[in-house]
Amino acid sequence: MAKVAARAALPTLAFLLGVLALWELAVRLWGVQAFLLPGPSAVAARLASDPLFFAREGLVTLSEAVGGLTIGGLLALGAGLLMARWRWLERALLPVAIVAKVTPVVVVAPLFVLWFGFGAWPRLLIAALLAFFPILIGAVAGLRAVPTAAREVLLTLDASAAEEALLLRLPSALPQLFAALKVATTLALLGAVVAEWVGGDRGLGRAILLANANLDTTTALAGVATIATLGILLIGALTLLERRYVFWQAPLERS
Amino acid sequence: MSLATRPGRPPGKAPSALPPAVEAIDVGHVFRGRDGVETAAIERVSLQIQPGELVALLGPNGCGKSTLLRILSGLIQPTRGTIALAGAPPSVARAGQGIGWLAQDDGLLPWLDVTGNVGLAGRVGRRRAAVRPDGVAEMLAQVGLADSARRYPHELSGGMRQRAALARALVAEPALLFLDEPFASLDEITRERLGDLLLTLRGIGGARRPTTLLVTHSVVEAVRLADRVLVFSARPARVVADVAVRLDRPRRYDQPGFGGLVQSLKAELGGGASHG
Repeated sequence: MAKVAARAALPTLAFLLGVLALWELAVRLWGVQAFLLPGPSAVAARLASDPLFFAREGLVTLSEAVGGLTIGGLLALGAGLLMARWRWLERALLPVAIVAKVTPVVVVAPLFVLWFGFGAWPRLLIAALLAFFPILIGAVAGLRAVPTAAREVLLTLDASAAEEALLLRLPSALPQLFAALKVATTLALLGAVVAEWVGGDRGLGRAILLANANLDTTTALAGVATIATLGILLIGALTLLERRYVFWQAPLERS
Repeated sequence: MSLATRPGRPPGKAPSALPPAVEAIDVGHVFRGRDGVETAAIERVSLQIQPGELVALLGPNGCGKSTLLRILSGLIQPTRGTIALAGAPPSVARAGQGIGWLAQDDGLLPWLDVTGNVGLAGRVGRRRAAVRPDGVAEMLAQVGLADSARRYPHELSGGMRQRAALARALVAEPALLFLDEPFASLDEITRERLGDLLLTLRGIGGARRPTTLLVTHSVVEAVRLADRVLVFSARPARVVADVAVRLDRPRRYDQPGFGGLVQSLKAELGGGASHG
């Protein structure tokens, strides 16, 4: 099993290493200055020089992203359940959700800071806002696409609408919910970073903003590397959960 | 449910002590497509099924007999006519006497194992208490799935899946059993075995054996299993023949009368189809 996983990860690792090597080579060959573009070795050295700093700021951003994902996800799931049940509600709410979605974060974020202060709330809510839409779309699509045969069985067994939702609609929507959750996770992370950028005293977004102001591109890129790591960890965790709970999916749909 | 509350019974039939287990009065159904075009699926069907009967609904593919079964079970509201299950509307029968349902697609939930799927009947609806604590395990033993109780649907063969679905349909001991081409996707041997299993399981009910409606397009299957065969025309469905099957059980293909009945039913089917 571990051997198979290692073999599957091989192309990813090879490609990544290749890109990093080319980057390092180019930076050294042309003597590019660090404030323009530091080499990956310099970024790695910066990370290694103060791992606690990046871990601490990363944890702040991570908790905001996960918190936002939870808030946005629960709201989206609730709205999705209602919208899947009553189509008129979908027609009423979906345009609102779309407007909220297409409004640029850089416009919303300062407003949220104005409304909710400089605490953690505006950052959580911005992450939640970004996570909401993809989960809503996934939830509605998944909850609607109920296998007819199973539904007929439940109806003849006199199942109530609530029993049908709990025992049939939610589990059968899981594959689509997981797909939506993965999209939402990256967006929530992005939302948290942008929110810190706009109004925050902590977190990777703040660290990158300060580094940029000081022309400390090495620290900024080290921050970006930390964000990337967080994203990969979150998606990886979701993939593990998906394997655990969507075990019945055909391998074809998984590959 | 008293007889007096039931809507008008077809003329010419004397009222009996018990209301029919299944009664359709002047049922018709029209589908309206997305483009607004209306297609008649069922044309004024009236029928009566007595308690305990096993009646095959035989008809060409796509004739509307599956739609009729969904109307009788209350899954679809007909555009005209009335349904009475032991004198009550399907929604009442579902919560009261109970309806077992099994279609060609087994409808097993992929995230539940066999026990979980069969036990579903004991987890939902107002009849959930009808499933006894040992009921699921006993039922699994009766359909020969005791060793597969912890396996998941994707780990089972088609025949085993239909067994599990049949167990789920029967575990709450419903008074009515509706089967929509239940064995159509199985190979012939498995199909016969499951037909025999169905008869056995019905027999266990004794005097309370479930009234069974079996939608099929197989003449042989209808003759092998049914007490009575209703032959439907091509769409829109009408009843073109109502044939009692008076052959001794257990039935064999080579027993006297079997082949002849198959032949005459095939003739009825052909005649019905030419109207469509």
